[in-house]
Amino acid sequence: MAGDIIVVENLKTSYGERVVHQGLNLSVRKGEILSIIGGSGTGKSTLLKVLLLLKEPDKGKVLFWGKDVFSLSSRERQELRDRMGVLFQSAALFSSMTVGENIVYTIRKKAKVSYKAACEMAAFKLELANLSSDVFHMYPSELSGGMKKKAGLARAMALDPEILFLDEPTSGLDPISADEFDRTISKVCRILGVTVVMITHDLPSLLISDRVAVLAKGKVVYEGEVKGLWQVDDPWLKKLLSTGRGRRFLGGVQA
Amino acid sequence: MTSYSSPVEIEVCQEVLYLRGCLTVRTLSRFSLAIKDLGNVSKINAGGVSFMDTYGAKFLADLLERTGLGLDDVEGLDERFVELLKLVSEKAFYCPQKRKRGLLYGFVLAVDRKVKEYLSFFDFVGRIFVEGFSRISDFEPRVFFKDIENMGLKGLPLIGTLSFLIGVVIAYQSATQLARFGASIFVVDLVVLSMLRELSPLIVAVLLSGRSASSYTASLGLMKVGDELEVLEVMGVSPYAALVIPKVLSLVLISPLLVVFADGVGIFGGMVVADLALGVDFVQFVKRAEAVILPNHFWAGVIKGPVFGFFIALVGAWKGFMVEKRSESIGFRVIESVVSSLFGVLVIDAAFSVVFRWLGI
Repeated sequence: MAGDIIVVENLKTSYGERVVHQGLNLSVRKGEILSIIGGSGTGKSTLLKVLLLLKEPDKGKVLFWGKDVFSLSSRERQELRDRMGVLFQSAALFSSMTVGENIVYTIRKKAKVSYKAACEMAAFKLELANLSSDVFHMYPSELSGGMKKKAGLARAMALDPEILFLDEPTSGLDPISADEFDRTISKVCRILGVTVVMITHDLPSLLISDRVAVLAKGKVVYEGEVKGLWQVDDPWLKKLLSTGRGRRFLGGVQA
Repeated sequence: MTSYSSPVEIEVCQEVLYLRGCLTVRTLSRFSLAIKDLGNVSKINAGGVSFMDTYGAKFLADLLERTGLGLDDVEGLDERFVELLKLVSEKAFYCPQKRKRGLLYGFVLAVDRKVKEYLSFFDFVGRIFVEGFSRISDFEPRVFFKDIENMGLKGLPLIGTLSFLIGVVIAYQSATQLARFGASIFVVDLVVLSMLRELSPLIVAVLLSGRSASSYTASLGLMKVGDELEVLEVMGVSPYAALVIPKVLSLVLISPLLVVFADGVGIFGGMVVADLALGVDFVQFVKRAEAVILPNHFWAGVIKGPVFGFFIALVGAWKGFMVEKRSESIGFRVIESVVSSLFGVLVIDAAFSVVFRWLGI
């Protein structure tokens, strides 16, 4: 489709003997929030690695804006990467820098702006991520888990990426913070027009997504609207939706 | 794609500022607002803006502030960017200043911190004796045997090579001088006494500082960063009894053995050179050695081993417990642990010399 900014075709990846993906197809549309769900060991994180160009697939194609990324030169790949932002599961802030320095470093690495302007922009991004300016001079080790995630989001958003990858953004957060985090992501990304690809285990997070992809047995077994989830014939998904959390979540979707 | 990279253009025409192009972090960082005097501007026409991110919005907001205009004076801006512009102009770009402190204040603070750090060594040692020995049932034999293997057994080749070379060097250096006086046989005194009393313990200490103190600091530090020490504490296992005591004990036990090993190999190195360069053959060497060596000389060196080992293991473990959750912290503490243990070993060695002199050993 013309609106697809990422297309994954017939992907096969493996770690040595162990095959992770086999014939995986996925497309991401411009401006949407796409959630990827699946049981443990179904290759969600590996898929993220492939999309971040950190792992080369054995077979298949990955197209960004219509370009086959694994046939590009390393410089062209980096140019693509410059248009992406990523928030890893553990936030992965540079522990030897303060939160502010983390963001300023990211900005100044790619954009020729003055130190003062970068600081201002960093403060703005922290505010967008719902953090107070007090954390600016604090070290990541001094922050709570939720604050780290928010700071990580602010860093991921530092250069206004066109695609944002989030690896379990709400894991380890309490429900209130998780909800707040979801709202922040949704709000910020809609305003800035960012496309979001999000790996999640948290069913309520699906409520902010436009579409969802379900991974099982190395393939995408379902790709489409959240509402269509309970018609999918996949044992893991059926089990997930029949849990207490799943039923409450479905109530939320239908309401 | 062209819309994402079209350059920024600014033009003022009849009090209307025309803004064109793609206002993003990439285009703007190449664009400098070189126009010092924009003149009188009463409206901004942003119809030509094809794309805008937060950097672009900030740029536009700054432009509005500079020209003294409001949001209503921007015309032609695409719907989706208006919201962004509003958001950016609402938010304060407030970046808190780092609290600045006077030079003297910083100095006093640093001294205070250092002094407290060094005092914490005694606290640490106290905890080993009080907490560690009162909960000695937590002692972890696996750690103990692993460290004996890693620090003792696996260090043998290196210690052997080093002490052999040192023995060779001492004998070789003295060879010409001694031969000139016809006193070649004294090479035995030189090699044997210096190896036994001074050099073997020092070689062992240097190697233990480099290999063991650093390893203890890094491994305990990583455990501390990963909250593993807290888990032990919660389980009711004392980290001092389970980890520190086995580590200290293993070094205390292996270091005298290592000293004896270094003695043997080092003296053998001297023997080889004495034979080749000075014509003192093995039989003469051993005979002379028997006459020179008193048990005192041997024990004076060996007794240093456990003292050095004890101190080195303590420093390594203590610095490991001081690691914080920052990537640079572990590297910094490993440096400190090697440097402090080496420094301490030399100070202790000097103290030994004084004491031995008093006692006439």
